[in-house]
Amino acid sequence: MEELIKILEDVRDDIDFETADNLIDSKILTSFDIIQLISTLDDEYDISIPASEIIPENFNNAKAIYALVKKLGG
Amino acid sequence: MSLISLPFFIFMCCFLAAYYLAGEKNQWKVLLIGNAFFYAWSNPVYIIFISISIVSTWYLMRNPVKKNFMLTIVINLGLLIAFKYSVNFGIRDLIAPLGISFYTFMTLGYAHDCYDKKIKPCESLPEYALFISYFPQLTQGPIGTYQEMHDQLVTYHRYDRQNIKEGGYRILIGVFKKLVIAGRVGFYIDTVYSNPKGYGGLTLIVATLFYLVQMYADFSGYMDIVCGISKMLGINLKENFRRPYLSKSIPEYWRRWHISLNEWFMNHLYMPSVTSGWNRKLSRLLGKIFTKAKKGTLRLIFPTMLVWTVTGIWHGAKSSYLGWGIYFAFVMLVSFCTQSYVKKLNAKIHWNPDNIFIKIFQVIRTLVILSFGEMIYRSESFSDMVAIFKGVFTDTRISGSEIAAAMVPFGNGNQAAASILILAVLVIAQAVIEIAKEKDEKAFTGHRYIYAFAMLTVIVLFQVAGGSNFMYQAF
Repeated sequence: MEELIKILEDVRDDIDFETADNLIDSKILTSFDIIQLISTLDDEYDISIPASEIIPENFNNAKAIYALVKKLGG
Repeated sequence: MSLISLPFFIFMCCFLAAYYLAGEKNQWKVLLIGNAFFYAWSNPVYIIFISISIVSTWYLMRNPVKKNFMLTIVINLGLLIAFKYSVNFGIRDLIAPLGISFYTFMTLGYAHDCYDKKIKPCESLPEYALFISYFPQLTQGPIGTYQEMHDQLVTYHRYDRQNIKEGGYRILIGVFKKLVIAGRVGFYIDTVYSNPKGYGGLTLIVATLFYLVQMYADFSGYMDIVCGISKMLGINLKENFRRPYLSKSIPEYWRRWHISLNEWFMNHLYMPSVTSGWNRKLSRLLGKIFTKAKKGTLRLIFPTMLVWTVTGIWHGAKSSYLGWGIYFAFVMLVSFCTQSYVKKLNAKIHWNPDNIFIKIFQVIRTLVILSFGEMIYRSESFSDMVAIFKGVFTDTRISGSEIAAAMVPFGNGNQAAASILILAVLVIAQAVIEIAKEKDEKAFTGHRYIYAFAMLTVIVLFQVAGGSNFMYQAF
């Protein structure tokens, strides 16, 4: 989880990912942040996030992102 | 049938009566018949093509497996390409069915979402047909998604005076933007851009600024009319514009201009290409060359180029549209690649991004970058484009008569000054009302009648005084 937080902060250093919630629903992350994030996660964890998993529920907070990475075998 | 015409007005009156008298069970059926009538009015034969698209997509996507998804793409894109680009393949110029670009995008978006299991396929063919053919959004969008539209379209809407009032007000704003503002500046742009070599730099700059005004007033005005019509039926359409010219960067601008099209590209072309295998491989190759670059940024390069090229061609098969697409791909990439450096630099020189002067600077910078793009888009040939850029940067000639010509559509002498002043007051009042209403919905409720009356007076005055300007009703 710590490693993930670091990756997230690399994409956006102005957000406290440990506590932030509703990242997508409250439009805190822009679509380009999400794309950068997906690409970085793909490479760092050697996973492949399919377009069908790119839904708000999977990216609303660090916990959800972590769960997605684990689900995809990262 | 033009939305600003007598036949449409009569159609709308009859349709509204039938729609609200139809009762709970039949209302959506009346809507479907209304859609068919509206579509047939343009050319009854073309109902065949939209029907092919509707029936085949609905049937195939009931079982959303890869083979069916691919077949749906082939059928729909095939029809779109055949009609839109036939003239480029040396085949005779076919007149494209009404709204084909827009309904094809809605169809493909639906099919993609079904395939990705983001939505359940529509079980009823008439309901699916209702979604694709919904007449207010059929001709120029907004490109609705099945998720947003389906339930609204099939639900019964009771007659509500408030909806009629709000819809009517919105239509009036649209007509004002389209007829009075866009219609008026159009003449000057056409004249200057049809012979750019004959005009000085300042004239070209004025014409380009006019073009920005015209594009916004025309397109967002149309959206106001469409959203207003839909509101009268109790159905909320997606907003397609959010004050785009106040954006502080080009990526932000594209999130606020033609929002539904850009979201479509984001969901159905950009995201899938970012996550695709080919892009992963290509960006790893790039990573070996640019070892210091962020991996996330490298993954954006090819999808950005692809999406902007397609967006350019979507506007039409012309080299200027392609050039415009490539220009914005380049601007977007520069913006992504320099983002983190700019942030660091700002921190170093203690620039506060919330400072109002810095914000104004950013807005002006965005408008300048945007203007260059529109100069490419609007030029009629490559040599014209070169002449426009050359003129803007090197021709310092200032011709009083050329600038005065810009004012002609607004009247002569004092009359022009007065009409520009009236328009400016109305536009600023509109912006103030809009911003206030965003913060508090109840703001200016009473004052809107006064504003509506002022707009109506100006529309009538300008149209009567304009005389020949009525030709703009034939857009």
